[in-house]
Amino acid sequence: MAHKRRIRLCREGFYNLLVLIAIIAGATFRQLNLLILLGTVLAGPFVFSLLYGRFALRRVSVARELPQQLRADQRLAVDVVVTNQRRWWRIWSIGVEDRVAREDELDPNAPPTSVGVFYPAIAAGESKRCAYQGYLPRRGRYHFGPLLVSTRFPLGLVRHSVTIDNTQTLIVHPRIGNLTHDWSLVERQVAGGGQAVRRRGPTEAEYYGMRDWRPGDNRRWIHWRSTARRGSLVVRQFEEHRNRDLALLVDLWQPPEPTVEQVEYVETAISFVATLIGEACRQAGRRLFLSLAASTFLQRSGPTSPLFFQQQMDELALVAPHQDEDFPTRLVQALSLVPSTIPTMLVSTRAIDWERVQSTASEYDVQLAGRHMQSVDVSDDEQTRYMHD
Amino acid sequence: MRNELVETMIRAGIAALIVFATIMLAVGERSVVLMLTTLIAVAVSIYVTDVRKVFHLTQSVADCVALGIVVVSAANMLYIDRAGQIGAVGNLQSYMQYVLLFQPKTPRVYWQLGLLSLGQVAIAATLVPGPLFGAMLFVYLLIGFVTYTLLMSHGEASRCLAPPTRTVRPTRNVDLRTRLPADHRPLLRGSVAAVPAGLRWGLLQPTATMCLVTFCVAGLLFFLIPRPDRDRRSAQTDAPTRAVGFSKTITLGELGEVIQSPDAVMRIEFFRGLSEQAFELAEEPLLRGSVVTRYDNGAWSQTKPERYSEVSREVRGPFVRQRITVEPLDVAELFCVNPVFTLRDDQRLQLDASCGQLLRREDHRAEKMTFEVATTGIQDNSIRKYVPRTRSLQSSSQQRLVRMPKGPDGISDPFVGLRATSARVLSDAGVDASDRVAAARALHNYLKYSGRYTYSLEWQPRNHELDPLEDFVTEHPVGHCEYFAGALVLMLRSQGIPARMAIGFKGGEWNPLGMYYQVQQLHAHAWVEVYLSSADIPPDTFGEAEAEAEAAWFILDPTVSVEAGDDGNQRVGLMARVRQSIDYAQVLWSKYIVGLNFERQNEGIYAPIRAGALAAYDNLFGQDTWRRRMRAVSRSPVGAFWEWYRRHWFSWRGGLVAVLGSLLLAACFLGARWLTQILRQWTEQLRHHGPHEPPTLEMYRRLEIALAGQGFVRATGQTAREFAVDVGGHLAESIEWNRVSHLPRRIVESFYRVRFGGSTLDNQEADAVEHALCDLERTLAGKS
Repeated sequence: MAHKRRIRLCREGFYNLLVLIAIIAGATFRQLNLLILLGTVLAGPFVFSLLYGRFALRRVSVARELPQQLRADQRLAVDVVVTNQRRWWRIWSIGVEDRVAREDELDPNAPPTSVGVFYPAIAAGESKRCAYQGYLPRRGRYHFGPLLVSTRFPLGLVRHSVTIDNTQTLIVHPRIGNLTHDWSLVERQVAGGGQAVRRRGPTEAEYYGMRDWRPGDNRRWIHWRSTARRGSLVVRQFEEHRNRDLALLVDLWQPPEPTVEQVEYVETAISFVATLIGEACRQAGRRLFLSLAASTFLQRSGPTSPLFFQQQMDELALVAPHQDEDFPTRLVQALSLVPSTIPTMLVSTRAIDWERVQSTASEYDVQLAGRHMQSVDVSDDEQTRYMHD
Repeated sequence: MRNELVETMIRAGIAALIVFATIMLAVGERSVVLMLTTLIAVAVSIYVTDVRKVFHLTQSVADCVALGIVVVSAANMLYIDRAGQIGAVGNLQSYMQYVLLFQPKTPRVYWQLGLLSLGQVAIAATLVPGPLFGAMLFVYLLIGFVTYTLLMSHGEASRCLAPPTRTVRPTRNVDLRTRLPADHRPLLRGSVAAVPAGLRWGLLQPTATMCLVTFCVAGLLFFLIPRPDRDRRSAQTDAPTRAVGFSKTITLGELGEVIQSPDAVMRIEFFRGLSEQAFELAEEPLLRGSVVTRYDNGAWSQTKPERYSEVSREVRGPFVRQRITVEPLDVAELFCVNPVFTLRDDQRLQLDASCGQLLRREDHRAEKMTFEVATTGIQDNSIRKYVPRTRSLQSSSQQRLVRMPKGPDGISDPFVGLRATSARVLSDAGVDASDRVAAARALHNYLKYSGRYTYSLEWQPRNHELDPLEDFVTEHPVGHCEYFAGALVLMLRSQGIPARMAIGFKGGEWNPLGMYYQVQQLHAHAWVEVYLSSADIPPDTFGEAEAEAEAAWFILDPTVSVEAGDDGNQRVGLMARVRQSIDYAQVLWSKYIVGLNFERQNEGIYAPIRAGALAAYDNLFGQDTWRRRMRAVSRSPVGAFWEWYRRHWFSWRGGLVAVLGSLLLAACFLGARWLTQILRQWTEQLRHHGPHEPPTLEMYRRLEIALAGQGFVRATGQTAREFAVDVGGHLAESIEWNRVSHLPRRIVESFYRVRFGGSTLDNQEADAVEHALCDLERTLAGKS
């Protein structure tokens, strides 16, 4: 890690220096020894500040501990650990400033956000941990660092700082919302034709797992102990779908000159897709097809699992929208890889031109008829039927 | 430390700084009003603005008020003198402080208050020259350091804890390439690490270190900053002159309160020859200022106008240097042990040749100055009884010294009783008046040791029909030194022996710290000088150097000694020591702080540094030095060895010695390094309080801590395995934690294997346990 040292005169130090110069000048002019004494006494703290800051920051190491995963709706807590590597001297008033910047194509020159932690004292040989907290409301790749370790001890006249080139990256996953009961109905309706669903009541059902309560759930399914522990309603799942595969087609479109709302549509669409993937991956034995038309076309398929979920979240965290006005033909082409028995959800950030979809499908010899397709136009807030924060 | 406590401490510290600075200024201006006003303003502002928060000045109002104050003060300054202007600037700073005191307190306001108080201290530095300023400055700095350290620390912590701000921005038609919605920016808030409870007093350590460094730096800079080589007299002429209670005319009965005054008159140090080692005299020195010869109607006066001459530079025999530092006085006399000589020309001094008085010239009386003169009047650490004169007095002068005053009618003798007493004393002693020394001793002993005469400074009833001295000798034998000295002079004169009265100071308070006598007004004294012609001088009184003396003065002090308990000089209790210490501090302050000038710098700092540097240069590069050194080395065992080695440079013995020596050195180095490592480990162990816990216990302890953080605590009587199984069940029921529900049991299994099974974990197993622990800790802490 590279270190850059810097000394800067603070505003208080500047004014103090002015007074000091005035006193010394007056003392020299009038040849008053007491004024000279006062001036030299005032120079003492300056000298001490210059010496102390250099001394204090010489044997200090700083480390940052980022969380392994983070979603945009989760609280961020970053531990900053400062170690005083000296064996004898306690150091005082050490501040560490970290910079957080999002890798952003729209706003590449955006200033990083600074946040600081302060350590009033660190004993010799001691490692002190302090965390800054907050939210990173947008998905994406965030760069942390460099770390700026500084001290103004004792009087705040001079700021000594060391820039430690300790940079780290954190990928923030998209928000995951909660699916509504309507989604369950839609899912059942979509899946109803081709797949057998075995529905069992709690008395005869096979315990499957736990999940958050959704409106419409039977109150007898509430698991009170878990609910009390979490502080929110948690229900037991008793039904198991034998085959609930899902295909997700996502059209992430955004115009070249987007409005704020259009940016929000993209984020909402990604959040909705992430929520659907999360829901699907909670249940083992399912298969998921994902085709995502973005700045680069993504196509993923596989059995649901935590690992699969993790991989898709990483992809969705970094995906950027495309700006092609036409409906992406590759999305329609991708349908050819999806068996017609699998229910398909088409999510778009604009109104879907079904005629265009049809013509494209016929052009590429993709059979749409007989498929169980459902579409969600995020720009029309259709997703609110199925998901809430 | 709690936030409120720190804020209260800062507030109190700033208030103390303001009050201290104002007190310093008020001491300089001798103004109690300013001090009281500031105290009231500080108290009211703390209560009204800081604590109750019922009133404060807004920034705009405060600016207007401050502007008005500046305008009015500037207008006033046009009509006052320069000294007044300095005080007015100090007062202006106080008024500005009052305005700031009633504003809401921010770090900026605190700094402004501090800087204004610093300005007041700077003005006080021009008005308060004494060591009181130094003492107050020390306290002021101490309070300032602590307060501003707290303020800085508090400000830094507040900056980190400040809530993140979000800028409200329009949500439509925004150019997203340059601006993003504020809601999308990271929203982060810093924090402050906890301060251990035992750390509250820990701030004293860095403050003390800062004070130490500050005073070292200040001392170094203060003494090294060169002062211009010019007279600093103008800077010191403000000091008022003091009345010393000394005059050339003494009227009996007028002494009393003045001579009881403890006001400092002078400080005197004695050095043998050219030595710089001061010494204490075996008896109290008699520091003569003047002599009076004429007595009329109860008053002594000088009879002849002064004739001035240069002070002699001719020193005969061993001499003692007197370094006299005189306070600003209203008299010209320089009090010292006589006779005096100068070792170098001093234009500030002159001699009244008629009576041998040493005088300061007119323009050197109103300031504190130091003079250095030599004297032969001290021998064997004592004041000499016989002071030689090179030439005898003229007969007219001698006549004046034996002249007795007449009565009011100009014919009658007002000293009948005194004459009779003198004659009787001499008769009783069997001494003839022609033997001046014996006669003088007899009369001196009569006054001093007969027991009839008593010393008193209090008013005494007198017979006003008689002359005061006649009355003292015959009817009311109680009085102070002037009565005793005057009586002896007249008694001697009545017997035809020429004598005069010397006035000045006797003794002084010996300061063992500074090795000097501090003379105060209460040390004023009078004694007698008897004129002896060459025939009257006892044989072998003077050595060869003074053999040419034609006359001499015989010094007699007839005043009855005061009881030890009554004399202030004899008090050596705690208070006296404190007073001596304060006095010595004043001396040091005056000499090295206020009075530091180019000359002192040159003598005390630059010259020794220059000499040291030259000596070091000579030591390093001087050819002669190196030659001497080489000669010394060649004569030493090393030189002998080298000589031997030069002659036997190729020998197996030499090689063997070299190899063994090298091995020995290497072994010593390795041994020292090993020892250092051992010591380091030992100290590390001591610092961590004893031996470490076994790793297995550490493993289980971490598990318990991680689980306890979520409320899982092992019940009494529950085994570790039962506990792990129970916890695993609970974790499995949780959506967040079911992923790690198996880990407690796995960790406990490993723990059992080591703890009770006696086996050890290999590296892979240990890593697996460590990973499991980390995973569990992180998950339970909500970080995954």
